[in-house]
Amino acid sequence: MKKTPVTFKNKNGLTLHGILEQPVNDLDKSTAILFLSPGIKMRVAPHQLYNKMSRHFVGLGYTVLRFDFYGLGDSEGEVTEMMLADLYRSIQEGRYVDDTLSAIEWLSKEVNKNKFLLTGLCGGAITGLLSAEKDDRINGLLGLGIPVILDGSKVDAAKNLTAGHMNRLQKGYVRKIFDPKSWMRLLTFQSDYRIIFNILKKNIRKRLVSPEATASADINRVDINDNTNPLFAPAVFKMLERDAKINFIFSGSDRLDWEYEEKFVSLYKNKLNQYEGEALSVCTIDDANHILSLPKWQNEMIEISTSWLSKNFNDNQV
Amino acid sequence: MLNETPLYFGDDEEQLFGVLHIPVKNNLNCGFVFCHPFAEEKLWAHRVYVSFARTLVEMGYTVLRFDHRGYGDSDGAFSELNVQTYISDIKVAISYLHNSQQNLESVGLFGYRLGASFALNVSQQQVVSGPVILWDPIIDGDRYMQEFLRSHLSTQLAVYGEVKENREQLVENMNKGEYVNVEGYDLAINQFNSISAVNLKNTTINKGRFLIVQVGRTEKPKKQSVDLSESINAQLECVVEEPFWREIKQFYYQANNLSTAAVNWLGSEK
Repeated sequence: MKKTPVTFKNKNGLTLHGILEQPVNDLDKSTAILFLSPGIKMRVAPHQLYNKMSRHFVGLGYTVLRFDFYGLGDSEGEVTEMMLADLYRSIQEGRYVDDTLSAIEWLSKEVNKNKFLLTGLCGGAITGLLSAEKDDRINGLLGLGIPVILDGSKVDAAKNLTAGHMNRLQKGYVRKIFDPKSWMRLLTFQSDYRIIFNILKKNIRKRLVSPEATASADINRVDINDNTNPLFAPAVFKMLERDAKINFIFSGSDRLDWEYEEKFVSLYKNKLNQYEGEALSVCTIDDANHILSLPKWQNEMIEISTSWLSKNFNDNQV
Repeated sequence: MLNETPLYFGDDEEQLFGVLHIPVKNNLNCGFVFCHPFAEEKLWAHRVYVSFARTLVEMGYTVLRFDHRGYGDSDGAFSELNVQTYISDIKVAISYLHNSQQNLESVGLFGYRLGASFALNVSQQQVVSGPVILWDPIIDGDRYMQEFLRSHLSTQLAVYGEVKENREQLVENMNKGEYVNVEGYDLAINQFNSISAVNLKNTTINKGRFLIVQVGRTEKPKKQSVDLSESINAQLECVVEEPFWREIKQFYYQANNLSTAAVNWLGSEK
């Protein structure tokens, strides 16, 4: 693998830093892959997850660019948000779409590619989705743990919990009943009372409502309007309608999996049916956490990605 | 206008990635090699690190930030590291900076958390010609490694709902030659043992100019910081900052109190 540190300008003239990784064998796929930074974890991602993925993809013959958005990693520029949740929200609203388009422009000139696949974890995945709306040369998205919601320091996360997340938290609280440290946290006001209150409220409501009413109502329903990202669904369908390919991979222990199911799939089930399996693939890695920290989870993710790549992006550069 | 060049240097077999910052004006002919923190702390603290490099460059210092083997964009695997490899990387970076920037009359070190401990270790082994700035050095390596293993227990709890293996069992697994994966980092017994053995309590250095900046919730000096500063004849400053080397609610773009303490000290050194 040939690794080259590179810099290029974004639309505002700020220098962005990246690493261009190219195959040294005869294989040279016509699609280039761009890795988009997750949150503030720059172009390597947690525990070098992107480096591990990139090594594998370059081995398959893809040219890869991993780069830092402005104000993050080694790149120029500033981020003025004081709270992480507000920075995450700005990313979920498309803060780094322009930087992604600048990277595509640079790649198309430097390595003579005109088909691009975007990949990223969390904030990188949503940036990829929103960028795909703006440039038809983006014909694939490999999104790991893509957020369907909007974060923000003023958003009451406890109010917007999905049923799946609540069930998991509830099990956690039940386990902690005999743990003195947990009681200490509760009594010293360190616990999140809003979450505990919401779980209790849900259980009381479940007991009060008659079985008939429960059967007719969706007890798992949460207020989907509160923090769902309004840009998410239109961007997904725009990609699918122009026959670009999407592969969403979620982690089984991650709230983002439940959010995708409850705040997106449940609302668009019929419309999604026509794309599932073909243009849209969705997989969940059992037990995995958000950052896919264990090698077995990383391997499973890379295996799923490889098979999806070979099915959809296997043509060689002419 | 920034003059920053990303580059590879060092052994052809295992190259180190770095970013060389060169001042565009008022070049003081003094350089700094930056020594980054351990594991995921490096990524959480990265932007503070970059901001501090740019602050020093603004003052006229040349800076080389680099990724240790097994980190960032450098070659190598994390699982193969130990204290000696960290120290050897720092020495390679110092040589590279001296050789590539021949105007430099002195090269100092800046280290943060475990990077500060390694910077101090290098200063014990060879004379460092420039100032040495240590932000929140890890004084007790054993305690630090135990805390690192605790993250593994938290992951077990979050994923499996219970702690399947306690710290003693994790160490036993490493002793059998297995890796223990902590937050995605494969920890092997060599690295675990060598970092556990880091103990700055008895450090003595006769030559060099040192600043230790203790980070905490108050400005009250801790005994271990006072002891260390006395044993290496360092100036000790105590500042209040949030622990931005791990996930907190704030986004830390720069650590103003840490940075100011270092800048003031450098100013008084001139």
